[in-house]
Order: sequence, then C-alpha cells, then structure tokens
Amino acid sequence: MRDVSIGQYYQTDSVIHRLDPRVKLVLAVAYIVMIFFIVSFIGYALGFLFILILVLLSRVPPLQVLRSLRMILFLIIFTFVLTVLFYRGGGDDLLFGWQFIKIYKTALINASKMALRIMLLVLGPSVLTLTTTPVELTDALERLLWPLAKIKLPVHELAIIMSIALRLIPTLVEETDKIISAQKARCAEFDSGNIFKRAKALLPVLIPLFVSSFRRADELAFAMDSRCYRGAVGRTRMKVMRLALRDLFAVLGFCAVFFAVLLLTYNWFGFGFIPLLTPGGY
Amino acid sequence: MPIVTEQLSYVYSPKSPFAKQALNGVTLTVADGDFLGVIGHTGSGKSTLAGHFNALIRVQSGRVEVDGIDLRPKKLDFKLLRSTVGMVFQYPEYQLFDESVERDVGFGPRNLKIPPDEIAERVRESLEMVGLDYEGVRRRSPFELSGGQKRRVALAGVLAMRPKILVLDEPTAGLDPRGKAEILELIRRVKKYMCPTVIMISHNMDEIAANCNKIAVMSGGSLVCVLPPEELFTRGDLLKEHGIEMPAVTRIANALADRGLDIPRSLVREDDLVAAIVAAKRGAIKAATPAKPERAQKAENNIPHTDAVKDAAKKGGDECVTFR
Ligand SMILES: Nc1ncnc2c1ncn2[C@@H]1O[C@H](COP(=O)(O)OP(=O)(O)O)[C@@H](O)[C@H]1O
Ligand SMILES: [Mg+2]
Repeated sequence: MRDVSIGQYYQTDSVIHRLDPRVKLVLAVAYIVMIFFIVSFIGYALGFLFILILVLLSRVPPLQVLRSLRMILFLIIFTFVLTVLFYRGGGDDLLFGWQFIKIYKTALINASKMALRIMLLVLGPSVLTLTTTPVELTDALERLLWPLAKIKLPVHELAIIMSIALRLIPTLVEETDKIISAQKARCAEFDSGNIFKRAKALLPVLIPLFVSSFRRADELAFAMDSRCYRGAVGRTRMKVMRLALRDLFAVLGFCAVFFAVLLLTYNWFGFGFIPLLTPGGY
Repeated sequence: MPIVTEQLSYVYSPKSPFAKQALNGVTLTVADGDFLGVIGHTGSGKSTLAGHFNALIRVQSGRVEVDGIDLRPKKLDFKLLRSTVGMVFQYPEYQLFDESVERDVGFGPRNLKIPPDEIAERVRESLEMVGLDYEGVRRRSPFELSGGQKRRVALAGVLAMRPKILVLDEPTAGLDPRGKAEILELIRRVKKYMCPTVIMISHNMDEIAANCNKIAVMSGGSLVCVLPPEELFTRGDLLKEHGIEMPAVTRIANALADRGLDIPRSLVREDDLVAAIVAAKRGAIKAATPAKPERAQKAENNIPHTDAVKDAAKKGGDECVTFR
C-alpha cells in the first residue's frame, strides 16, 4: 500500500489516463445520469459493453476493475434477495410459492435489473478513479467549480484542503501502522474482548496519531507560509490543463453511447427492430 | 542461543504490482551477551529483520527462533515473546499516549496482567534505569517533557516488561550530540544490569564501533557479513563496496599510521586509540633514549597532543571531522 497515493489509481499509460481530468469528471457524471435512462436488458448489455471497451482502452487489468465490485457484492446480493422476497406486485407470473415466500417472474426481472444497475454505477466511477489520480481529480474539480468562486465560494481553499487531505492519507496510514506495531510490541491487544474493550484498546493508537497529525499540520502550514503561499489570488499552475483532440473524441464517443441508450429506451424514430431485440419488452 | 534466523526471506505485498522483496535469505545467529550492531543503507531491510524478532512481522519463508521459541507457527504466546524481546522503534517518543509518565511506562506490564504493586516497582526501576527522577516525572504528562526525556520514557516503557533481549531501531536518530551520548550511555547501562543481549540498528559508525562486539552489514535485503568491528573497519573492500564510513577513531588511527606512527590500523575505541598512541610515543622515546628511564617517565606524563587527539576523536563522532 505504500507506493499508492490513495484509492486505487492504477499507474500505466493509456488514452484514458491521458484524457483531460475535467472531461473525465464531467463524462463520469453524465454516465451516471445515463445509467438511469437504461430500462431494458439490451440497454444494460450496451452499458457493460461500453465499460468493457473503456477498460480495454485503459489497459488496467480487468481483474483490478472487478475488485471494486467485490466490495459491494454483499450489497448487490442483499438488494437482490430483498427485492425478490418482498415483491408484492401480485400478478399471474408466480414462479414459486411456499408458505409466505412467493417469487414472481417480474420480481426476478426487476431485481436483476437493479443488480445490473448497481454494478454499472460502481464500475464507471471505478474506471475514473483507476485512471485518474486523486490530485488530478481535485484539480479538475477546482477548475470546474471556478465560476462559483465569483460568488465568493472558497473553491480554491476547498480544493487545497482536499488535496492536502488526500496527500496525507498514505502518510497517516503509514504512521498508524508504526504506532500499532509499537503498541503491539508492548503487548497491546487490539482484537480481543468485547466492543468497549476494543474501543478502549484503540486509545493508545489514536492519541499518538492525533498528536502527530497536529504536529504535521503545523509543520506543513509553516512550510507553506515560508514559501509565500497566499491562497488562490495570483496563483498560477504548474500543470496547465489543455483540451486535446482526444478529449473531443471522448466526448463524441460518449454522446454516441448515450444516444444509443436513449434510442433503446424511447424507441425514437419508431425503429421497429428494437422491440424485436428485447423479447417480451424487458 | 537467543536468536537464530535461517534463510529468512520476506516480501511486502506479495503477488501485487507493489511486491517488494525486503529480506533475502538472511541467516544470522545472535548469541547470549552479544551487542550486535546492524548497519546498511536505508531500505536495506534492517527494520524488517528486526520486526521478525518479536513476531510483529511474521515469517514468510525460512526460520526464526528466539530464546527457544520457534516463530513460524501462526499461534504463538505473543505476550511471552514480546516481553522477552523488547523492541524500541525509531522515534519511540511518538508512541507515548497516557496521561502520566507512570501510567505510560506501566502500559506494557498492565497488558501482561502483572499485579499493580509489582507494576509500580517495575515502573520505578525502569525510570531510574533510563536516568529519570522517578518522583519528579511520574505524575507529569509525557507530552510536556523535552524530546530527549520523552525518548527515555518510551525506552522505560519497553524496559518495564523486563526483556532479556533489547532491539533498538536507530535509537539516537534526531537527537542532539548530548542526547545521543546520554542514550548510548543508558543503553550500555541497560545491557550491563538488565538485558544482556542488545541489537542496535544505527547509521552512526562511531556508536556502532564503540559499543558493539559484532556488526551485521545489510545490503538490498541480504546479509553481507557479520564481523567484529576491528575486522570490519579494516576491510577496505567491504567498506568501499557497501559505502560504509569508518568510525572517527579508525580514521585517526589510519591517519597517524600513514604518517609513520607505529599503531595498529584496526582501532575502533577511543580508549584503545589513546593507549596505542601513548604506547607508540613511549616506544619512540625509549628507542631514542634507552639509557635514561626517568626522562621517559617524565615524557610520558606530558605526552604532547594526546588530549588534542582525544578531543578530535570526540568531535569526529558528532561532526565527522575528517582526518585524511
Ligand atoms: N510496510 C511496507 N510495505 C511495503 N514495503 C515496505 C514496507 N516497509 C518497508 N518496505 C520496503 O522494504 C524495504 C526494506 O525496508 P526496511 O526494512 O524498513 O529497511 P531499513 O530499515 O533498512 O531502512 C524497503 O525497500 C521498503 O521500501
Ligand atoms: Mg528502518
């Protein structure tokens, strides 16, 4: 974990990595909106195809991407089971009934779609965080929210707080590791006893951690001060973000996918063949 | 035989893109009563090796045995092990947390479920061992002490478990020369009266040369050699290959030998150097005036430069004055 800045950024060189972070961020938001327009299985298939292409382009190992799903696997199963069990829409498509457990076909279909939607909602942003460093993301956010600074919102300050926090997370993780080891060397136990005992056992870790965080914050403030940090005013950037041709292609490509999704959902232009692709109208 | 490692290897974050081989087939034996110095560049695996000795880092491959306990099994008597091997980390003062010095030092013994009156006794004993005034500091908050005092309290916190083996990871890092000297002094005291076996990681060759009877040289996760200081610091090839600096005393001895004084080049301790210079001077005077012993006697009493050399040796320890 030491060499990673934070989260799950996967270091490699690819088109997706090189895209302007602002574009990626905006597209990620648009992508989430798009997911909510998907209604049919074929729409979901399109969504997954899109993600697959992105992953291939980004040269991140697909397993790495799937890892983000592992964390929410429980949530997916949980919602699936609940949706199926507590579906009370009634109807004549009962598949299985035993005492109070009734499983309807509609419930199964709804639950599957819900699970697919959650997966897509997690996978898209994962691709973003796998291919964009947190620092790039905060920078992008700062640039995108720039207009708000005009109405006296401290956009720059918020962004710098965020990047400092992000920067300090690995340091704090390392520090925590060290303190835990040191207390373990004095026979501290962190994984025995009831919940109160365990909470109390954390004090010997938390107190030194707080003390050192304050010290660090103090030192950092001093270092920034001595390099004449004055906030946003008159500050220039080391890495100037510039839109490139690939960003235009990215936007166009995404628009095409979004358009296809809308096409499937609303059956625009009366494309007769689309209902044929979604048998039974699912 | 307190510590034996055999073909010990360790990889951080194995099977991931960040996998890092930190130890590579380390075979090492530390005998009872040893004062082992461990040297090597940053990242050479010194801390990882030390972490194995009280199972803070678990054996991945190879074998470690400490005081007769095999550290390979998953389930161990950690309390026994960790009270046998006292581990003092780098910057140990950052682990202080309790409201008073007394309670902080008593943390280890409390975890060992030792009865309160014995804890009080151990706290007193270890605070006195590190040279703090028990009555004066026991009720104070550890956070209001000076840097050097904090470090001693942290050391006392480890000593309160009455370890047989003491492992110190860069114990003098970040202290001023006086703080360094004091910590080393108390480490020697601890070795003499409390735990007979000490392992010390350090980047300061003067500390290492002056205190250790064996030195382990680490490089890139491998153990290069284990040699007594007199031997290591005369092995020009090793020193050169691994970028090891000579202690000031050895440098002075070499400089003097280069200029024709008849003293051995393998000197590592200040006292030995002074004695050798005295002996060499006496020999020179005797050779020059063999018939008048009373003059030689007189000359011995005011040998020129001895004090200056001693001063220089001391200074060299802290400021790395080079005599070339
Ligand atoms: N917790 C960790 N995770 C990953 N790598 C580590 C960790 N701790 C140490 N390393 C790596 O292992 C190697 C050996 O580290 P260490 O034993 O701390 O060396 P030393 O104490 O000699 O400076 C270094 O390259 C270091 O980057
Ligand atoms: Mg180290």
